[in-house]
Amino acid sequence: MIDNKNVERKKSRMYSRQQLIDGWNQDILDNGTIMIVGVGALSLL
Amino acid sequence: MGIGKLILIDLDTIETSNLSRQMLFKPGDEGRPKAEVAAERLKEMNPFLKINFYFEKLQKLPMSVYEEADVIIMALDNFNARLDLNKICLRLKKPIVEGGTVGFEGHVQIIIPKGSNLDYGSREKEIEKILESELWKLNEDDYPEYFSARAKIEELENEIDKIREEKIEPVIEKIRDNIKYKFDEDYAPNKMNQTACYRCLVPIPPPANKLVAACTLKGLPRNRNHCVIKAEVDFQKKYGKKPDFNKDDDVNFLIELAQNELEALRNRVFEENIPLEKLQTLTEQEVNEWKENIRKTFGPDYKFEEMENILENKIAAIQTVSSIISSIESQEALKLLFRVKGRNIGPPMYPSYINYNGVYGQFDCLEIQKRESCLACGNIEGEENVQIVVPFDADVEYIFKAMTMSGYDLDPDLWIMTNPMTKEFYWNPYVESLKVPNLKLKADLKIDSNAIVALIPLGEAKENSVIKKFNVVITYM
Repeated sequence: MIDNKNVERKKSRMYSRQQLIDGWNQDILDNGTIMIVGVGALSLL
Repeated sequence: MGIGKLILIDLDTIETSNLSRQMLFKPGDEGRPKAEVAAERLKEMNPFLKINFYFEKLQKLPMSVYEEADVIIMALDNFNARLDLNKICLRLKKPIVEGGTVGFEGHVQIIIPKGSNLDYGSREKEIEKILESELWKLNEDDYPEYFSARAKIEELENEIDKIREEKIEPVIEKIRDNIKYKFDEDYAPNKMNQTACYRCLVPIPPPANKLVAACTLKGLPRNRNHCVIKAEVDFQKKYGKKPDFNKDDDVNFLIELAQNELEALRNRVFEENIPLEKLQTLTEQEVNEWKENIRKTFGPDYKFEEMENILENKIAAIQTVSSIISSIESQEALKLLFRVKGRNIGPPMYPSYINYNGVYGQFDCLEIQKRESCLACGNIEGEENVQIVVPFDADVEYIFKAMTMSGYDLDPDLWIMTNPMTKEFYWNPYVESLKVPNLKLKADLKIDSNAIVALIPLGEAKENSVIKKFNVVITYM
């Protein structure tokens, strides 16, 4: 239980700067799927 | 990196040349699948990320894999794979972020398929674009004042504003109002909430590499690339396999073969230019100058890495440009993902295509048009454009061979070949006099380079073939 809480907190901290953007909703991204076809250009994704 | 799930697809394995610019890979990864290694590294960077990876051709993946994705980033290195993925995404109505780089240049295109229900485009801008084209269609009889006013503007610059107000604007307003009135019904279905697709920009895909190679080999090598292509064929004859560019021995042997061909090419050109009688009149210094000039024309001796660059048709690439392009792709994918999920953090880029030139550090936004005649997203169904390269002395039979090498195996007994303009038959398997496989395209049929011939199925092929007409652009080499 404590572990789960820690994990969630870490995740929340990881994305803390994005949360400052108007309209941002991390839950939406968490439930989103992006496919990348051709991994060579993935360098900075 | 904050996405819940990534699906990575790549058929390639890591090569040494990737390490200088594909930052997820490091020395020691050579030979491993790119998709697998990228998944590992991304997972290290963000353990919350869920990743599925496929070391597989995109055409072989089940549709369910694509259906799972909200947005698809197309980061491919060849036309045909792009066209296939474009087709899949249009069918599934998945938004695409397409990108590519060549040397110091790069581009990003977003593709929103019709029916994906994403809010895209500006009603006002579309109205203005239509207005502009409608104004060009006006004729003087219907709008004499408009036209005379246009003329006066040129003559009387100091009165432009006044004339515009009295004569031009009323007409523009009238037509704009008319467009606005009809926009939702007549124009919006084809203008709003969709973009041009990838195929709109590539109506005729470039010829298959192996076709160019086969064509090249029919004659003697005429440039340094031809010599390497010939060397590869000789390599295959000797070892029964293609050279492995990760094996130094294979590459060294290939260089030796290519170098012999290059030397023979230099000698041929020397002999063509300096016949024996002329050679006897030249000093040693003059002969050396000739040889040096020929050497400059065909380039220096081969370098190790040149074999792979030529045979695998590698494209110039540097990390800086790749970084810029992949960053824009990520940003657009992010906005589209929010939009797919019903939230707006900013509109996707408009126009839908951006070009970057790294030499000048310049971005250009380009208006690209959705083509109604596009073979992927337009109104034309069952046609395909194909460009083939053929030798100068190619015959009718060679067209069928070239089509096979381009991925279309057509039975000559079930297809007719015609001139689409004059309807003249070049090949008709049902008529004995029109069934002459060795008729020369250029000499007998007078087909010029870059002319188009049509291939149309008959009988069984007509029923079974998805494509009902091939428009074949013939280029001589």
